[in-house]
Amino acid sequence: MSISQLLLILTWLTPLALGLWQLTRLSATLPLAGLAALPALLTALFVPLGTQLEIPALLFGSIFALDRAGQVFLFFTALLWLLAGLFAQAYLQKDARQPHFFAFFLLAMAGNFGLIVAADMFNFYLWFALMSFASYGLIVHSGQAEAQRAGRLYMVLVIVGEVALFSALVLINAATETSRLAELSGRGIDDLSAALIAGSFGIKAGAVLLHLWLPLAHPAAPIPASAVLSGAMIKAGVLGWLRFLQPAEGAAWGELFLIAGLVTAFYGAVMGISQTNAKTVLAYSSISQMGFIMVGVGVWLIGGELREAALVAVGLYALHHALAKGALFLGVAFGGASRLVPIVLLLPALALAGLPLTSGAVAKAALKSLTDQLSGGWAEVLSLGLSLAAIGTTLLMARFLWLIARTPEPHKAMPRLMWLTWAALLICVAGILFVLPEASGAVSESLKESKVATAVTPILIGAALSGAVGLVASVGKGRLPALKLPLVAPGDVLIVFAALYAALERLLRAVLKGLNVLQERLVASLSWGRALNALSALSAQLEARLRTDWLVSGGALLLLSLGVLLIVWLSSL
Amino acid sequence: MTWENSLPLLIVLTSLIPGAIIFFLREAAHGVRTVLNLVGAFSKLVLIAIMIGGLQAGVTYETRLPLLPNFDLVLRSDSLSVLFVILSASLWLVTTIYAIGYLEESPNRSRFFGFFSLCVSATMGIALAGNLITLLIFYEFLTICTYPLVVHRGTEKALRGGRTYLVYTLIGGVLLLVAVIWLHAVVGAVEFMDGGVLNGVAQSQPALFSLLYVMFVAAFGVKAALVPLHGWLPRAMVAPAPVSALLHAVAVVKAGAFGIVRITYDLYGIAVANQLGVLTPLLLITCLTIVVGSLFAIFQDDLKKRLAYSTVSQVSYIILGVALFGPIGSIGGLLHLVHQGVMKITLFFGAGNLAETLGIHKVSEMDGVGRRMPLTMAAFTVGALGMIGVPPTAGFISKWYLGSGALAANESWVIGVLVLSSLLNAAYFLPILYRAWFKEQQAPWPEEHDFGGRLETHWTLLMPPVVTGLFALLLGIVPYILRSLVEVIILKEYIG
Repeated sequence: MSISQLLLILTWLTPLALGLWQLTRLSATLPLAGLAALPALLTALFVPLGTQLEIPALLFGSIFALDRAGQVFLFFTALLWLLAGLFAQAYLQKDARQPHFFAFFLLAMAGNFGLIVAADMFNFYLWFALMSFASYGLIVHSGQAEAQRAGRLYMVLVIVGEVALFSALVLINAATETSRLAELSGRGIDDLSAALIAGSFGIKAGAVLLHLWLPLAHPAAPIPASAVLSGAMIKAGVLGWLRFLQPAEGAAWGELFLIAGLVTAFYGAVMGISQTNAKTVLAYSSISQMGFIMVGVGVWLIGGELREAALVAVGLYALHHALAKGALFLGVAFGGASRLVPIVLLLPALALAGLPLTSGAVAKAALKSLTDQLSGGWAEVLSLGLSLAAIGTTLLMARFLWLIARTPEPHKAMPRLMWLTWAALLICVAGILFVLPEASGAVSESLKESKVATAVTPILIGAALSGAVGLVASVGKGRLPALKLPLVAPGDVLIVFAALYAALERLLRAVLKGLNVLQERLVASLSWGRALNALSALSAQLEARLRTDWLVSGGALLLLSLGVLLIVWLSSL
Repeated sequence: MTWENSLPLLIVLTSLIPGAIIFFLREAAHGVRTVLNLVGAFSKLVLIAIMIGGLQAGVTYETRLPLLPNFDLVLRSDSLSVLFVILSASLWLVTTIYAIGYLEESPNRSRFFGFFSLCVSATMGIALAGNLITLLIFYEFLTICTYPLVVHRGTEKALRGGRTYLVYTLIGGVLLLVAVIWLHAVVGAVEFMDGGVLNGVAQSQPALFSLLYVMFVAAFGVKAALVPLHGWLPRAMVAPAPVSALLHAVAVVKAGAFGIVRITYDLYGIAVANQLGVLTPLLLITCLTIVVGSLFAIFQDDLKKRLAYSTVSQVSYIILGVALFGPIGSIGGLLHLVHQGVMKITLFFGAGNLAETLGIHKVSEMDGVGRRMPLTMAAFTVGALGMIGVPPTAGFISKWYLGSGALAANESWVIGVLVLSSLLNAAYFLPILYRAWFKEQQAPWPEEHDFGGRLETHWTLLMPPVVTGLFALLLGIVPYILRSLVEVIILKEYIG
C-alpha cells in the first residue's frame, strides 16, 4: 500500500476510530479532536488524482478513490470540519456533555469523508448512513424541546431518504450490473431510479418541499455543528447527485433541476426573511443557496459540452458556500461580543450575495457563464431569476446582520481558540478562490465589467430595499400595526405534512384497533379454552366407557390396530 | 461404526445425552450441570467443524437407522443442514451461558436445562433429517420438549401461553403428519436431494401436489409464525428470556422456516415449485406477514412482545427469499436465516438483561437506560439497526439480496414491501433507542438487582449479547464468509 492509499484510508479511519473511542469514554473529550480531519485535508491537497484502493473483503467489495469532484468536495469539507472541530473544543468547553458531542461529531465527520472517497455504491451508502445517523446526536445535543422536535423530524426524513436511496441503488445495480460509481456515468438510469436518487439526496440538500427538516435542525444544533451541517454535510446531497444521477433522459431531468433550483432559491429567501432567529435565517439562506447549486447540477444534467464546466462550477459554488456559510454560523457565537462583529460578518455575508472580489462573485460568475450558454430561453430566464434571487440573498443577509447587531452581550467566555479558528475561516473565505488553480478561469471571468455590473446591481437593490424597510419600520413604529414575526414558522409547509401525518396515524390506529378486535373475536369464537374443556370432558367420558364397556374398548383396540396396519401397508407401497 | 455413518448421530447425541443426564441431577448440582452443558455444546461445535472439513473434501456423512420396514431414520449432512446446524449450535452455546446466569437461584433448573438440551437435539435432528419421516419425528419432538420451557415459570399466564402454543403447534403437527403419509401413499419413500425429487411426478398431478405443498407450508408455517398462524408467538412471550431466544432465534421459529426451505428446495425442487405456481401465493403470504407483523409491533409497549411481533415479520424474510424464484433471492433468504437468528438473539438477550438487572419490561420504562447499561444497549442497538437494515449490519446484506432477488424474479413490487417494512421497523425500534440513549432517566428502575463487580450486570448475562452483537456487525462488514457457503447451497439447488 502506497502512502497515498494509506492517506485515503486514514481519511475516514481517523475520525471513525477516534469517534468510536470517544463513544466508549464519555468522561473526557479528546484534546483537539478537530485535528481528526487533518488526514482528509492532506488527502485533498497531496494525494494524486486517480489514486485507488480496493478492499474486496469489505461489504460486497469496497473501493476507495480520489477523483476530481471528490478532491474539491473533500478539500472544503475537511477544511470546514477541521476549523469547526477546533472551534467546538473551545465553544463547548463548559458543556458537561462535550464528550457526547464529539463522539457524534467525529462519527459524522467519518461518514462525510468516507462518502466522498467511496467509489462503489455500497460504501457510499454506508458512509452516508453513518453521517446521517450520527448527526442526529448533534441536532439534539442541547436536549431542549425544540431540538428534540427538530431531531424527530430529521430522523423521519433520514429514514425516508435511506429507504429511497436503498431502492434506487437496488434498481440501478440490477439495471447496470455494476456497483462501481465510475462505471455508472453514461449508463442512463430509468426515470424511477432517477426520481428516487433526486429525492433521497434532495432531502439532504434541502431541495424545496424536501427541506422541511432543515430550518429546524440546522439552528437547533450547537453553533459549530450548524456550521458543518449547513456548510459541509448539506453538500453530500449534491455529491450524491453527481455520483448517481445519470438519467437516460438527461435533458428533461436537467430542466427539472433548473426549475426546482430557481424555486428553491426564491423559496428559501422568501421564507427566511421574516425569521427572528439568526441561525434560522442562515438555514433558510442555505436552502436558497442550494437552489443556485441545483441550477448548476441542472446544467450538468443537460450535459453536452457544458458538462465538464458545470462540474467545475458546482464544485466552486459548493466550496464558496461551505466556507462563507461556515464563517457566518461561527460568527453567531460572537454576536453582541463586540460592535465590530457585524462589520466583520459583512465579508461572508457580501460574499454570499456575490460582491465582486469575493468568493461569491467567482462562484456566481462560473455559474452564470454556464447558464448564458443554455438555449431555449433558459439563458434569459435564469439570468433574470438568479439576479432576483441574489436580491433575496442580500435581503436575507441584511436581516441576519440586523439580528446579530441586536444580540445582547453573551455571558460566555470566549477562548482565544474560538477567535483564531473563526479568523482562519474568514481568511479562507476572502482568499481561497483566488489561489485555487481550478478557479483561475472563473476569477478572471468575474472581473469582467459586465459581470461586475450584474453582480453589483442585485446587491444595491437589496441594500436599498432593506434600508427602506428599516426606515419604514423605525418611522412607522407605533403608527403602523405591529407585525408578528416570524410570519411563517420555521419549517413552513411542515404544518401541512404534520396534519397529514396526524391523520394517517389516526387512521392507522383505527385500522389496527379494528384488526385487533377482529382477532380477539376470532379467537374468542374459536375459543380454544372451551374446545379444550369439551374435548377433555369427552375424553373423560370416553375413558369411563372404555373401562366399563368392553365392546367399546375392544372396538377401539381394533380400530387402533387397523390404523397401524394401514400405515404399514401404506409404507410398503 | 465409522465417522461417515456416525457423525450426524453424534451431533444429535451431544446434546441429547447431557440433557437426559441433567434430568436426574439434584437441583444443587450446579457445577456438574454446567460442565455437562458446556462439554455438550463445545463437543458439538467440534464435531460440526469435523463435518464441515469432511464436506469440503467431498465426504457425505449419513446415519441410517431402520425404523419400520421402508421407514428409515436418516440423518445426513449437506450444505443446507450444515448452515442450520452451525447457526443453532453456536447460538445454543451462547444461550446456554446466558441461561446459566439468568436462571441462577431459580427453581427447577434441572428440568429446565434438561428440556433445553432436548430442544437443541431436536433442532439438530430437523437440520440433519435426510427424509420426511425423520424431519416429522424431530419436528414433533421439538414441539413437545419446548412446551415445558414455555410454561417454566408455572404461573397462570405462562400456562395459558403454553396451552396456546401447544394447540397451534399440535394442529400444525397433525397437518404435517397427514401430508407426510399422503405423500408417502402417492410416491412411496422419498429422501431429500439437492434440486428436489418430485420432478415429473408433481407435474403429472399438479392439483394434488399443490395441495400437498399448501399443507406442508401451513404445517411449518405455524412454527414459522406466518400470518394468520402467528397467534401463539406473542403469547409465548411469558417464557424466560433464554427460552425466548431459543424460540425466536435458535430452534422453533427457525425450524418452521427451515422446514419450508427444505420442502421447497430438496423435496419439490425450486423449479418444480415454480412450475406448480405455488411460489406466488407463498410470496403474497410472506409479504402480508412482513407488513402485518410490523404493524402490530408498533403499538406494543411490552418490550418482549414488540420483539415477538418483529420476529413474525422478520422470519418471513427467509421465506420471502424462498418464494422469489431465482438464486439471488434464495441467497438472501438463507443469509437471513442466519442473520435474523444472530440479530434477534441479541435483542432478546438485551431485553432479558434489562428485565433481570433493572426489572424493566416495558419500552416506556427504558428512559436513560443506555447510560446504566451501555454495553447491553450497544448490542441491542446493533440488533435494532440490523432489523431496519442499516449498513454495515447483517440486516442490510439480507435486505440487499432480497431486493435484488425481487427484481431478478420480476417482482419489483416486493421492494416496496421491503421499504415499508424498513420504515415500520424504524418506527418501532428507533423510539426504543431514543429512549435508551437520548432521554434522561425519569423514575427509579423498577427492580434493580445488584450483581456486584464493576460490570453493568453479571458477566454471563453481558457476554452473550456482546458476542452476538459483534457477530451481527461482522456478518455485515465481511459478508463473503457466509455468502460463499450459501452460494454453494443455492447453486446446487438451481443446477440440480
